[in-house]
Amino acid sequence: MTRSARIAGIVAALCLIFAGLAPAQAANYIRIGGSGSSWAGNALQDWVSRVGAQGVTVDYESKGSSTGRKEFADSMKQFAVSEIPYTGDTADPKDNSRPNFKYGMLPVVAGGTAYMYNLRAGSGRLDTLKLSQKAIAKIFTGQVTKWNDKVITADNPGVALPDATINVVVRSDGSGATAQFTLWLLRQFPSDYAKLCQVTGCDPNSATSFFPTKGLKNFVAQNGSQGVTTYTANNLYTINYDEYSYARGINFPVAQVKNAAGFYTLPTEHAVAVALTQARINQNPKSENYLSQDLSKVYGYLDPRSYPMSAYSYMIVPTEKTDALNEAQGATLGYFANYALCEGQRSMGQLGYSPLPMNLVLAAMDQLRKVPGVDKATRAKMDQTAASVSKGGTPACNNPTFKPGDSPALNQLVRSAPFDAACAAACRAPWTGEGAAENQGPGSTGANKGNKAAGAKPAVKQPTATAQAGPAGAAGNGGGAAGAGQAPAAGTVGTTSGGTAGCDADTGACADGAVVAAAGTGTQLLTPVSTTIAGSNGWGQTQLLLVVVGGLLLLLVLAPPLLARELEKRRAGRRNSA
Amino acid sequence: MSTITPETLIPERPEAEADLAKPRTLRNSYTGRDHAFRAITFTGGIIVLVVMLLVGAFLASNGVQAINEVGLWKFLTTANWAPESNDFGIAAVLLGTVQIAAVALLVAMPLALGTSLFITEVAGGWLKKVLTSMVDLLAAVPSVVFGLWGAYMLQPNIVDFSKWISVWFGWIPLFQVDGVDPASPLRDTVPFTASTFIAGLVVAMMIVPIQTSIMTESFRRAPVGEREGAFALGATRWGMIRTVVLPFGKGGIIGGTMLGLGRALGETIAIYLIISPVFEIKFHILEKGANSIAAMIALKYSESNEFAMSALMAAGFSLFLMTMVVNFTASAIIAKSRSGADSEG
Amino acid sequence: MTVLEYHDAASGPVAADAPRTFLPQQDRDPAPAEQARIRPGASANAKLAVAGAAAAGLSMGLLLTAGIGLIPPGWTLIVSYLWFVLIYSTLVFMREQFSAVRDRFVTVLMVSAGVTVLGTLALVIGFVFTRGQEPLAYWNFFSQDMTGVGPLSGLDQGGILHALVGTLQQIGIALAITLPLGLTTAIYLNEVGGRFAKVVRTVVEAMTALPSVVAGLFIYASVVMVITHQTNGFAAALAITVLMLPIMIRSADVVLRLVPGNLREAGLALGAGQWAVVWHVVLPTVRSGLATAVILATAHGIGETAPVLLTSGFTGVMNFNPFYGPQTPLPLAALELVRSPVPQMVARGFATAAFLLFVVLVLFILARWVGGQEAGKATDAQLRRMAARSRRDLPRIEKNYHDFNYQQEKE
Repeated sequence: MTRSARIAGIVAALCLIFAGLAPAQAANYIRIGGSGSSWAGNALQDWVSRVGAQGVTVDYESKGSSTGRKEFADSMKQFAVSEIPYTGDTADPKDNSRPNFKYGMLPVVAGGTAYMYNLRAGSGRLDTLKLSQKAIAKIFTGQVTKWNDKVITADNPGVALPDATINVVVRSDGSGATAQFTLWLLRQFPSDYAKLCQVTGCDPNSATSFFPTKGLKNFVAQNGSQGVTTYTANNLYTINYDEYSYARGINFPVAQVKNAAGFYTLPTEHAVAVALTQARINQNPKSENYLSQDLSKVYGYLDPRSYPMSAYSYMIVPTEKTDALNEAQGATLGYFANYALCEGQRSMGQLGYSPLPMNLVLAAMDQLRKVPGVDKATRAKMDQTAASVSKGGTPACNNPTFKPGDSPALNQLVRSAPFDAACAAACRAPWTGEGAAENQGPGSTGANKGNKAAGAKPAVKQPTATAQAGPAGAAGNGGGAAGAGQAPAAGTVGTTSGGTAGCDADTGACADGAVVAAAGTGTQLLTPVSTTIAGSNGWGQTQLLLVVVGGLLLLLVLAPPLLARELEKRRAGRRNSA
Repeated sequence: MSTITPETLIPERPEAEADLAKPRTLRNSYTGRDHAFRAITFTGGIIVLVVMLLVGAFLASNGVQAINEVGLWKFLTTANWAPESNDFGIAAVLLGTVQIAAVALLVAMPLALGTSLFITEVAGGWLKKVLTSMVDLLAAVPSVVFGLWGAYMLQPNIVDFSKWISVWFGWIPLFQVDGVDPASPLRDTVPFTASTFIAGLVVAMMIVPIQTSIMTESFRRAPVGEREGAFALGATRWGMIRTVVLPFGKGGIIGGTMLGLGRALGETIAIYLIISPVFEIKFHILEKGANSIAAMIALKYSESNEFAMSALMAAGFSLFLMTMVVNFTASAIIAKSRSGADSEG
Repeated sequence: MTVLEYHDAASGPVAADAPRTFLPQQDRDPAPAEQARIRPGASANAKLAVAGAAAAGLSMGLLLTAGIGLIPPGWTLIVSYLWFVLIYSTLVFMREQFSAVRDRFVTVLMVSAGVTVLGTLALVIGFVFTRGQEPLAYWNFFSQDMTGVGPLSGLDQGGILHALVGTLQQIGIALAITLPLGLTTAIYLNEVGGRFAKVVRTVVEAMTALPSVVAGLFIYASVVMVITHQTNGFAAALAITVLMLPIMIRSADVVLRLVPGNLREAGLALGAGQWAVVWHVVLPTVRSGLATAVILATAHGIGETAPVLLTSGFTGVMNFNPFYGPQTPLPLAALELVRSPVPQMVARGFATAAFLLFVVLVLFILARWVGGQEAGKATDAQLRRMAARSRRDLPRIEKNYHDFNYQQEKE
């Protein structure tokens, strides 16, 4: 009786669970899934939740580009997102997974690899750190291990950097961000990269998706962008590399990076847009890497507004029917990717990315048309976008990079990018008006005016040299820096708060009360400030001292009662004998 | 049906004369239903056996394929994990697994022993009942809960203790932490995070309930008569525990400990959440960077291509072999102690 | 009809004496466990010594930390504890023999171990509930999925309904496989037996040692990559199955072994066949034990994280179809949410873990409640129901008897 009731209950519960098996998709788009880059993960999540509100379900897993490319090649997902292609000189040579079907790459978002750090200044967080590219290379190859190293202080005059170890947080999983970062190291600082590889045993001639950390004592590897960001946010004296949106999402500061022109920039949508005008795009539609990027020229771009570590992220889609993608799934993929390329770009700036320029949007849409199953509605939308761009009528997709009537290769964000206050009219001249650079890629005129306009060659080769020239941080020399592109030593797009004094600039010893207070309640008082054991974890004076003090205390507490007891006993014995 | 005899038949009792030491044979005859029942249950057994053997065989064959690529010796002695360049082995991860399990066991074993003695010998009445059920309940707590606690509560608080140990006992190589200046007044806790020690502590907390539960069970079976005998001879409580309870529960102690060890070796999520994975042989347990086979599988599976997957399965299979040996030993010891208990009781 | 030639093999008392009837009651009701008659207590003196030592230890701890600042204040409790142990031992030493000192010292250690373990475990559970309490206060946390929830969304948006559905479906599938297969196998091991059963038992025993992540890896490599070509709820259910199956077989096996042999014998002696004995005697006897085994295995399966990490895939969107697309269960949702750097997401992750803990807790209590009775023992209510059933059966039996007599008379 009770059993039957119980069974009936269970059956009813199961029925309830499976009752919802009916498809929940409203717009008749079947559910699809993708995985890959966590660098672009925040952008993808944004689009996924927006199309989710329209009743189209797309699942995206930010498991890292390596995973994304592998799962796509294994036909486990309908699309992948990766910063680097499967093949070519920008690919990871160790990664040997290849799709056995035809596929295409389409850029979906641009962004800057930011260096998020966790440092204290006084009672608050230090948020004015500036880093030269040289310093970044030295830090991330394990050659500079102290926050108050000269390489870093040179860019931060007047800032009390602590005498603490730099805890470098890197990705433990295979990541496109790591691949782009090591590629940057390899291209810009090959000797530093060689040194890293000497220590860790990596291949000094190729970039890698897996950051080598073997034998580097101040490196911590964490899984995924989320792991890296969380770890950095929770631990002091740390620095990592990942997309700007991660730091921005939790209001953490990122380092201002010194570009080739000697200005410190943040990876804002403008700075990234400016830098990516120099990205060389593969323009061979026959190539499987069509539209893929080569960033060699981005790193050294002389525009004072450029953020040097900018990159595009790509969606990889099948261009023929595969085990993973039938026409119905292709229709959803088309809908989703078209949304991402069109309306989806609008929110990218707020999120910490940079919207795609219109010429790349159009080229990506052309790629998207090759996906089997893209339905009429989506094709019509793409046609409409292309028409509005060419006719200059209604604003296409409301993409902030595009102004009706202008060439789609001209990124409006580049035009409206603010200059550093220290960059005077003469410094600005080559980069504005006619000199504004246009994006490369399909639809561009080919001649890049901006690049040609950079006639005056400032000290690009040794970015640190210019910084050391004016360590005093005279922000007032802005007017004096009239020579085109001459780098001012200080003054940035961001705000520079007054230097927090307290640390001895020479020795690096911080006597700053606030910093000591920041050292927390831990063992700081217990830790004897003694030079004899500094650096050597041996049995020394202090250990001996602790033992002696402990013994003395023991004696102090225990000796009197025990002694009294002994005496009592002896006295009792005497009394008894008497 | 056949005839039913109205009177009771007293069966002949030939066994009274027969050799009692020799067990007699049992002959059954079955109806169709019984045959169906036997066939169905047998099929169930076969299916389970096939499934289980399939799991083992699949892991083993894939693993052997990967091991053959580099050779068993290299597989056991290489610390690096780079299947794409045929340079992989389980030396580092295996050592890491063992280290984490060892830390866990060193912490958990005395705690479990003390707790189970506390429950059986010191606590009385309702407290004993409540504590016993609580321990059983805690054994069912999902590992992700322990992982969250370890990563978000234990780790930020234990680093100071780690630092203290490394400062005062750093002269012992095991507790040495490189790259830390003990004289620095700054509280830099990073070198002490994500370590074998912290992962081991979390795993310890996970295995304590299982160990305690088994030990409590075995201590409880210590015969009351012998306990009272010990007291009657003037033993203190500890004296009684030492001479009666502990010898009696020896099997439970060893078995419970081993079972906990088996769990510790296979634990994934808590370690996955805490460690910063490294692939080098290291003995500094307080220092950041640790690894275990299980955590490596969880971290690496998704980006592994077919061959790397085989390599992972080789690692997984060796872990499985290890836990299997540990578990079999444990259950053999527990079973032995149980039969002993029965004969004495 | 079954003809049984049954020779008593093991149980002893029949051999020597004259034939004697045994009341089944005697087997069912063994002598109650012996109660300990001696409980080492503590004199007033000893209690005062504890209190005094505790006060002294605390004072020393405070002196060393807050007082003269030799040790950081965070260590007060530990330092006080060490001093307490020391002072207490000394106090006992001053009055008693060395063996008593050792006894008290060890007692202190045992109590400390108990308090440490249970305190820490209470801390674990309390911590998870505390960190997760905020989202738990919102009803939408249980009634929505994570569609449209971004890093900046408040806690009044989004929930874990999708993960709950995922868990229920996956555990449902896993149970649908393990329950019949596991129980059949356990019955096979116990009731049929034989050499082959020994092999099965050994293999099952070996499989209980299978690390959960390796089970996940197996399903990932053999099912996800080869058959389904995607991570989905079904693959996760299979991974859970691989883990749950040996556990369920083993615990059911242990429970079935508890069935007294003479119950079976009684059934067989009454002329029932093997199937009838299993169905009418063995299974009803251990019903509650089996239910407990199943519930505990379910609790175990629900809490598994590592295998679903590899096989279920991660999504924040409701998925009712376990055969297509990722379907996140509760433990994985908790894991992925806490890994986020955004505080609200972390809070949601803790709340998910707390909810999972609550589910396991409920299952555990249910198991305790169901399995409260020992095998073969019935509660009062059950006895009443049995009596009522036999009363209902009485007319039928009487009728049979009547028919039988009638037939006899006819002959």
